[in-house]
Amino acid sequence: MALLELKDLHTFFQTKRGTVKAVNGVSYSVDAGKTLGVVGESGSGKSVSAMSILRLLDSNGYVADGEIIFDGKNIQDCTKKEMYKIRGNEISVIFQEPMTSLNPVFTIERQLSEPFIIHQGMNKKQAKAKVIEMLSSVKIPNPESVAKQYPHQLSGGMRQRVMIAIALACQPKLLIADEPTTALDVTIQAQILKLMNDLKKEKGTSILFITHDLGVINQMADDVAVMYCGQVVEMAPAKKIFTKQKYSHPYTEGLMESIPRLDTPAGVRLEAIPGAVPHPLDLPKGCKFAPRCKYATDKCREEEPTLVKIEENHQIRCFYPEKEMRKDGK
Amino acid sequence: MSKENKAKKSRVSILGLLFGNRKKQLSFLEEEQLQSPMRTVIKNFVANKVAMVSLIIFLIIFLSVLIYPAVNHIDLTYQEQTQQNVAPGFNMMKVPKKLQGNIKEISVGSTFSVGVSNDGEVFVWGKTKITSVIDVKDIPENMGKVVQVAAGADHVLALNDQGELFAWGNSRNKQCAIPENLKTVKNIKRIYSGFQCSAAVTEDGNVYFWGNTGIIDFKIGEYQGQIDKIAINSQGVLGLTKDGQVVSLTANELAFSRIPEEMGKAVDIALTAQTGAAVTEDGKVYVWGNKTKTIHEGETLEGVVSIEGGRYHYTAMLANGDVVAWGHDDFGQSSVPSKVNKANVTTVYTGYYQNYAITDSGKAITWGLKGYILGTDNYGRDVLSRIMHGGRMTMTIGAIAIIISVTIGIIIGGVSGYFGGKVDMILMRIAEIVYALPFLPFAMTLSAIIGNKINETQRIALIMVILGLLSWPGDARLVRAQVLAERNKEFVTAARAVGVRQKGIIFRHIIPNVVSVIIVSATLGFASAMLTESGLSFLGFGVREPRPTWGNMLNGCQSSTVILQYWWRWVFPSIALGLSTISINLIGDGLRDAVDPKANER
Repeated sequence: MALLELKDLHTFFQTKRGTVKAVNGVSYSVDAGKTLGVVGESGSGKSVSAMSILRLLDSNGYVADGEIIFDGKNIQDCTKKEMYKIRGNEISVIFQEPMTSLNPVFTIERQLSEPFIIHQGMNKKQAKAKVIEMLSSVKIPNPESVAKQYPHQLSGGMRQRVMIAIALACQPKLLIADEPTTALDVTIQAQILKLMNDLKKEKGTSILFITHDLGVINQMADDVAVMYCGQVVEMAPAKKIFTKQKYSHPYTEGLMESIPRLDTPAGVRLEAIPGAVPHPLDLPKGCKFAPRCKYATDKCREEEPTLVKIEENHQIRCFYPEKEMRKDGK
Repeated sequence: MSKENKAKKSRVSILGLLFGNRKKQLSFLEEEQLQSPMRTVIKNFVANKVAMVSLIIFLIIFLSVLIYPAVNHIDLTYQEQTQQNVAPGFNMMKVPKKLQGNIKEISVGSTFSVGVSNDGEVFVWGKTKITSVIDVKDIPENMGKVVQVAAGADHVLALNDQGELFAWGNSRNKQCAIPENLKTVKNIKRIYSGFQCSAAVTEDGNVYFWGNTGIIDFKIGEYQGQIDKIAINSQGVLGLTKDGQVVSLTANELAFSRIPEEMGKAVDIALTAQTGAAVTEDGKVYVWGNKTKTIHEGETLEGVVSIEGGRYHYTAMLANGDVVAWGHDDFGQSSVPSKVNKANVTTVYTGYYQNYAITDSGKAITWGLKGYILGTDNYGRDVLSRIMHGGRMTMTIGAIAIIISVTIGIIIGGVSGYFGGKVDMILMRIAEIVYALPFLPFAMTLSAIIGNKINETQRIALIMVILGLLSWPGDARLVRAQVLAERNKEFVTAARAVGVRQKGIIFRHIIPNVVSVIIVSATLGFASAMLTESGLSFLGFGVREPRPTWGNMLNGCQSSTVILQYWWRWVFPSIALGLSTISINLIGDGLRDAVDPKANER
């Protein structure tokens, strides 16, 4: 059974120049104890869809349509009070910027004890003991002294561990990791990912892992949703995405080709997807990816494809999902 | 061992806080210890010499206005007409060296004393300047050998061995105009100077009285020709007849006119401002008039020979040569020094707040009021004490006003900045409306309308509230701008994601991040609130007399006479006000630089 299910979610932002359809009909689900990786370029709506789940959108953003079902509850129907209980308790978030996600004027102890005090009704003394426990569970050496320190006294990796500790404080059912390793260097990234995987196995937390890094997805995810311009363009188990398959979306294919590989011969240029993500206020007619797609036909430019189930567990939003067929068509 | 280390460490850090941490030389391999934001601010502030000096100056002012009023309570009804506009200084009892050891007689005036030596030379010392032109130090020449002197509130009488009378000093009430019929009288026994009046008693028991008869309605009637001695204060005259009867020589009824009848034969009389006293043949003291606790203490004495009266105290000589004083002791006038009773005292001279005990070697031992460190004002109130109490009032009003304004500012600015949109629009328009009110006229109008219907304490509260309610928009705008800058930072979103409620986000997560700016603004606001309060009080719309504030102390100094002659009345409050506002402003500037070092470089 799915822990979290997004059904045809539409999240719009009202701006002075018009309505930005940041998330435009997204459906995905995260199963209990599993990790869903959401991949996409900047502006593809992956973070917005996650923020919609927690109802933490900016004041001009709103969910226009669709349903978010978490643990059998419709998030949209929850009262503010219920939301406060969900946030940080049942669903928690790790943000991209560990440098700025911690309040600079408070000690680690004070920030880490906040979820305990808010959600578990502990007093400061009880929370203090829990803080040390949490810090050691995220493998922070010397947790007693770190607890007394301020965020600026810690390195990026340490701060991200603290963030993870805060997120996992109340043993949430769902952890939303919004590009948690983007700001970190590769070695720290590997440590953090390992830590998250370990914690997932240990505590059975489901993870919604948002990233633009396919390499990271490969390490973390059970299932993958590829997003483009506010829509899911391909959805499949990670294995299918990262192994040679009969079917794939041209965007996923492009993303895969743009990853440097060890077996790429020297002197061969990496394939990049040409063009840029269209402006959200000026989306193309037909398939959103058509202007950048090397296989695009007139049909692609006129009509918009729908998400079609190609195989078991594999959905693609393309008129020509079969790789071989595309080459012929051109 | 470890305890010792700890103590050492804390001492070092306190010293370091005050005088700046001496930077340890780090080797290039060592990383400089990272500091918390608050420590960095403190360190920057401590390094700023101007700000530190200002802080010390302000702390000195602050502590003195805090401690002094707590120790010395102020009597708001206190007025002393004999001590008006006394210049600063401590020379009221500084007996001239030439006179010391050669004293024949001393007479005590309001703020000065007159002495005559055994050679008949007259000396005047103390605060002798009465007005810009009259100075009792201008002793007339060719007086011959003077044998008696009498000092009044603002004039002096002298009698020479030829029986000639001389008078100098203030003669506005004709107290120096010796009556024609007295000029031919050569048998003057004793001369007296009082408050704007003079008197002389002759050997044959006649009393001559001249000066301001409007104040003292002198009436001797049947007792003329029987008077042995008299006593004068600022309201009336007592006489002692030759057969030992104490009589009032004033037409109107006064507090001390009801002389006790069962007293018996008196040998000496004295007056204070509100009471009369007599010493009887059997050495007892009787005190009558307006009773205060301490003024009657002398009635238990025995073996009293003579009595002298000051303004609010008595001094008595006992038969065994001891000197006893009782009554008010606010200037130490009834605290007889122990060395007086160790020496052989022949006479005691007392008047107003001073006492001179003359020893057998002709030297004077003094006690009582030496002078006022910062002078007195037009009601004879000590300027220092008023500056201290006024400072406390001014600072309290400033502090409470700024607390009100900062509290409102934080709440409105915080809410406005965090929620934005319509809430922000409405709150900021309200802020702008309040900002647009012309402050001083508005405060004056409010104070004038409401101020007359309420009592003094409510009035002070009103001023605090007016100041606070009219000065919050600046703080609100500042807080709003800071909150706007902070609210989109990741840590706010992170806090929301943890489930912190909106109130908690604004006041527990965002405000602590802007608190340094608020502190700076509050510090600067404190100085300006103090100035505004002083301005209002100066104009007469703030705290009113007799309760002192720095502003209304200056209010009493607007006339050019005061500015020219009584400089101490406006110079010292101005210095206090100026020094504290400047130092607070410099502290505020220092804090701002410490919080935002980049601002300094611009």
